[in-house]
Order: sequence, then C-alpha cells, then structure tokens
Amino acid sequence: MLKPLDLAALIDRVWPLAEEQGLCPGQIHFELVGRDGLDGLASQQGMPLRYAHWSFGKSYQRVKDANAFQRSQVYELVVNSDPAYAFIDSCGTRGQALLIIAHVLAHADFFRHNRCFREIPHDMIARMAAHRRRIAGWSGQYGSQAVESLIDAAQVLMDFTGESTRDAAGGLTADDVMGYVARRAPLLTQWERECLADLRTEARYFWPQQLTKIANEGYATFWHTRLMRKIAAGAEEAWDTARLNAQIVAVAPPALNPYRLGYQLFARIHESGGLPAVFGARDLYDDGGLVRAWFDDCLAEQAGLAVYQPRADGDKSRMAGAETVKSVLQRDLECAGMPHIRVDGVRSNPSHLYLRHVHDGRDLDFAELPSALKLVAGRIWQAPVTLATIRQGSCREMTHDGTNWLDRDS
Amino acid sequence: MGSWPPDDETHAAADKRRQQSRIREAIRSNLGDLVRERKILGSDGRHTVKLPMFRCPEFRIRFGWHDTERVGQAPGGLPGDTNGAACPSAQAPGMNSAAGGDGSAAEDETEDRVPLEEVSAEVFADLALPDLDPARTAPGAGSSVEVVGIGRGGLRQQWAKKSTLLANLRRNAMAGWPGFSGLARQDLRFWVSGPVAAEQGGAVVLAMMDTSGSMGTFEKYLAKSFFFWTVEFLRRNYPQVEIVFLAHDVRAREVDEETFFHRGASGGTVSSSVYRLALDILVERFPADRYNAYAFHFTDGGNLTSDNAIALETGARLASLATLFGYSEIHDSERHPSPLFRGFSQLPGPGLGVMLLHSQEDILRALFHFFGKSRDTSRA
Repeated sequence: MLKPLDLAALIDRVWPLAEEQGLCPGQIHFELVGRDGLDGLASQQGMPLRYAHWSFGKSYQRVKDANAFQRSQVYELVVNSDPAYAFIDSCGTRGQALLIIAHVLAHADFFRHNRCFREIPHDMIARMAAHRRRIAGWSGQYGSQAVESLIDAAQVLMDFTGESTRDAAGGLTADDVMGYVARRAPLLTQWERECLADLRTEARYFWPQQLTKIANEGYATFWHTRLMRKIAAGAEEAWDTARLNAQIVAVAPPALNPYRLGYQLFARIHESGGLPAVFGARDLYDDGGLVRAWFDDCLAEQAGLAVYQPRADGDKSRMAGAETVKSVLQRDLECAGMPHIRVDGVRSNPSHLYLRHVHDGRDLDFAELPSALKLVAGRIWQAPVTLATIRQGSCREMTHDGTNWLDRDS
Repeated sequence: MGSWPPDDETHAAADKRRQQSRIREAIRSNLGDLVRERKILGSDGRHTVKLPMFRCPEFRIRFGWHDTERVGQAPGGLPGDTNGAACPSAQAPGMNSAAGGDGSAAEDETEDRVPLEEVSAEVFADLALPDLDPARTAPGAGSSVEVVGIGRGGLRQQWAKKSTLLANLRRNAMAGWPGFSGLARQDLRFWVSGPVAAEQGGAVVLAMMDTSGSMGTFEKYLAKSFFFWTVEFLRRNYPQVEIVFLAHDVRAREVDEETFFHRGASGGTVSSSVYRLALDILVERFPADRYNAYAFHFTDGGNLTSDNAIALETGARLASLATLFGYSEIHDSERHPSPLFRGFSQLPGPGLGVMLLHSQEDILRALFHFFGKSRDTSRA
C-alpha cells in the first residue's frame, strides 16, 4: 500500500532523470487511487466526472470482470489537461510505482507535444463536469427517458465527429456527421442540440487519443524502459520493474499489443537517429504515420506479426510478407479503425438524412447496422436515414425510418 | 479537485442501477422466452439462466468482425522471446492510458448470466393467489405485526413499564441497594414489534397432473413447467402455503414433490379419480373454514368417455369447495377441446378457470391467467 509520501519520494527519483533526458511533462497532479477507484475511472475513459448513462455502468462491470479474472489490470490513468492528472494504483509495490511514474511522465510529455493534441482544450475535466451537470439538469427538466434515449442514439455518431484532429467548428465538413446532425436535424429542440454539441466536444477530446494508441503507449514504454535502466534501484525494485515491464509487453495472440509494437517502433527510431529523432517522431506522428514511416522489413520480423482472418470457428492466421503486414496494419490503424462515414449534403434534406460509407475494402457489420441506424433515425433525425455502402462487392443503400428496415440495390 | 472519487457513490452507483434496471426491463419483455426455457427445469444445480438477449447492446456503425483481415501477434514463439510460456496469465497489456478505445465487438459477445433468483422475482412480481380470503385461520398467505420482544430503544408509546421496573430493581440490587429508586435511561425498556407468520389467510394448493400414457413428452413438459413455476412462486411469495401433489392415470395417488416432477407416464385417464382424491384431502385435512383451496389440473383431455359425466360432477363439487379450480388442457395441435373442457367451460361461477395450452408460450399465459393480480375470470 503506497502512501502519498512514498509516492513523492519516488517521483523525486524519476522526475530529475526524465528532465535530464529531455522530457518536458509540464505540471502533473499525482493522485493515489485504490483498486475500485481506478476501475471506476477506467470505465469512464479515465475522466473523473462523466455524464450519467447506463453504458458506464456496463463498462464498469466489464472492467471489474476483466480484473477479477486477471485478464488485464489498470495501473495508471493520465488525463490530458493542464496540469495533467495522473491516477496511480495505490496497491502496487514501490518498484511498480517507479516504472508507472516514468510511464506517466512520458504520456504527459506526449500530450504536450504531439501535433494531434494541439487543439484539445486544457480544461476538459471541468468541461466534462459541466456537461454532467447540464445533462443532469435536462434529465430533471425533460425526463431521464428523453435524455437517455438521446445519448443512446448520439453514441452511434460519436465515432464520426471529423477525421482530422483540426476542429472545424462542428458540422462544416462532410466527415463530421455528429456536428451536422446537431445543427441540421429538423425536429430537435434547443436543449437536444446543446446536448449533442456537448457530447461531440467529449468525443473530440478522445479522438486524438484513439489515433495515437500505439504512438503514445509505445513512446511511454520506450521511456519507462530507458529510465528504468538508468535509475538506481534496489534489487527488489529492479525485480518488480522488470516483471511489470514483461507483463506489459507480453503477447497474447491474436491480439495486437500496442505497447510492444509501439516500443519496437520507437526503439527502431532511437537506433537510427538518437533522441532527437525520437522527439521528432513524438511531435509528428499518429499511429498510421508512425507505421508508414518506420515499419520496415527488419521490424516486421522482430515484431512477430501475422495477418488474421477472424472466423467463428477460431481465427485463422496466415504468415504474410512484411509488405502485406504493413499495408493491412496501416489500414487497421487509419482513422482509428473506424469506417469513413460522410454526410451526403447534397441529397440530405429535413425529411431524409443521407450518409455515405467510403469503402476501403472492408465491409461494415451488417448485423448491427440496422439497429444503429434505427437509433439515429428514430431519435435524432426523426425521419428516414439512408447509408450508402458496398456489401460483398455490390452497391447497397440501407435505410431505416425508425420502424422499418430497407436494404436495396443502388 | 480534492480526492478521487468525489461523489463516486452516487455517480457510478446510479449508472450501475440504471443498467440493472435495463436488464430487468429486458427480463420482463422476454418473460415468455424465459419461462419456456427448458434448462430452467433441470435441477442441475445451476442457478443462473443464460440470457443472450440481455446484453444491453450499444450499437455502432463499425466494420464487420468476420471476413476482414487484420494484423495481430503471430502465434508461437517469437525470435528471441522466451517469456511466452513463463507468463501465461498475462493475457492483455497491463497498463491503460486515458485513451478512449471503446469496447470492441468481441468484448460485447459475452452473454449476461442472470441469476434464476432475479428472473423469478420479475416473473412473480405480478402474481398472487387470487380471491384470497384472509379471514381463514390457518398458516398461509397472511402475516401480522406483533410484539416479538423487549428492547432498549423505542417510542414512548411502546414503553414497557413492567420490564423497566424490573430492570431498575435488578440494577439497584446489583449495586447493593435493593428497591426501586433512581430510574435512569439505561433502565428503560420498550416493546419491539415485527412481522410474524400468522394463522390467517390459510391456503393450500393442490397440483393435479395427468400422468397417463397419452401424455406425450410435450404435454408432460408443459404441465411440469407450469407446476415448476407455480411451486417456485408459492415458495417465494407464500412460504407458509402448503402444496399437495397428486398424480393420476386411472387411479390417483398423493406423491411427493420429487416423484411428481420426475415420474414416467403410463395407463389410461380417469380424471374423476383425482378430483375425488382432492375432495377427500380437502375435507379431511384442509377444512374450508380455515383454508383457501386452489386446485389445478393439467391433462391432455383424453379422459375415458364413460368417466366424463362423473368427472364433470366431481369437478364441479371441487370448484364449489375451492377458491379456484383451474382446469387446463394441453393440445400440441389444433383439435377440438374435449367434452370435459366444454363441460367445465359452461359451468357458471367465478371459482372455475379453464384454459387451453398449445405451445410453450402458453405457460406464462397460464401463470398470468390463474395468478395474475388483475385476474380476468373470462375463459381463455
């Protein structure tokens, strides 16, 4: 059980070393949190205060279960704000905490420098707390049913708030479906538009993080490894650090371990250009860019990656050449693994919303698509919603009007 | 911000409650499927039911999981990697930054297992023994609030003066000054009340099942399902109510619960035998002035033709004695109701309910037909 004083002492050992190496994490507010607290934070994507919605209850249960069966464990959470907040597991050992602090410093440094985060406001904790109050207010005023159903539907669109990390004021680009409907949905009332705008702001906050999973974790793993090699640690501490690091980079096929891949990429960068190249890559790349620029044949062999074809009867892997792995990996990482959905602004009108899926070779999940479109059609546009896509090579137009589902050729 | 969690209790707990209430809504809207679920019947020691439809899914527009190639870690050892075997429990990365990666499709595929207990609670929430006369004095559906003891705290109206006096005397005697003096707060005693099983609203349920050879697997399954849920419901809502199990073919016997649910079937059908046995049992053991009697008979309707008139007559007597006599016929195909069914349908009076069951969905319908709080006395 770590005490605040222990933590302060550990920070004093890691921080000077990190600054000496060139990290610039800014101000960080460290907070020791127990198991339950961390699980709660993790289920809310690391933010202390979120709007009330049942999906967080579900997500909390999932985090708890994963913990109980030791499938994964959350040791730290870092909030990208100024000052940054770092929530640290208070049940860990001192050795573990050393590594976690180093990891956290690198995350904070990454948030401050990577170009994807340039437009993220620095007071998101307070903003989300404000959203929470506003949404609770609307629940009181208009009924929790009205608010809950709106959030249910909005969550379908929260993945589509614009693919760029530059923010175009909401609804002005075709890929910002959420912003478009918040402005243009014909029958929404003022509070509903405001609610959608708040949810869009939250989604925008998470978007760069979704784009830099491998880069951010890889960078942090690179730095905790490097700092732990330089730090003066006792035998027990060294054992705990090494053990935790081994857990972090362990593989469980077929899941891709972003910590491991990211670490290997940054190690490769360091090998070729030293620390200046590492800092350059930190400033510049999201996941797709990192892989495009630095994933080469040598790394492909080292990373031990395969191309998988998921199947109901067990995944089937095939060994593929470095080129194939690279191109499939880039496709997986592009746009954070989300499909490209566009508003068809020309065809859309108050009585019909038209969306277009820019097909890149991967079909959509047609099992849940009707339910997703139904939510948008029924609660938000309150008129038919059509998504044009390609299914197994043929063009389809899928429409839901809130009650009926129509799937036809186009 | 002070320390995390600021108002965790109200916050996380509220989201969790809301999710659970969504699960309950899902249970309620799927009761029919649940009640029909064969697995519930098995006494295999599992107390949960699998409810794949209660995932409270969050729908998204995303890529199909199947038939799309993606990159993952290759199986087998990696070059220079020796910790694959040494660290078998490390299934996933140990850390998590504040990245917003949401649950993937694969994560959502787990089924919720809902405890049987919870399902029962939902099924039984709206069920009750109909037309219960609370004035009948036998163990049954009633309970009353009575004094169950003496305590040290309470309202002034519940002040137990005699016990207080005794406590004072005892304390003074201990201190060496026998006699009543110096009444203090610690001497005060109060009556404590609590719910007790009362000898009122006495009730008995007679479960009568046709176990003749003509009852096929389907008919037996429906009948047993109905009685399974009835027994569960009674045990839960009315633990005092007695249940009598009667099985019959050409003759009727009183059996124990185990035999009732697990015996095979053979022989012909003479329904009057079980009605006569039921009448005897009611008269001998459960007099009408003390007990509300509920009798339920499940059969395939293939009663011996020569017995129909007698069965109708004894059945009518049973209905007049019982608060409710439920007669149910199970037909796996559309065929005309038996003469017995038509006979019972035409009998007047509120004490008789008849019903035809065709499919598994009807089990729930039967439960609500006979035990629904707003029981519709019209014939189903």
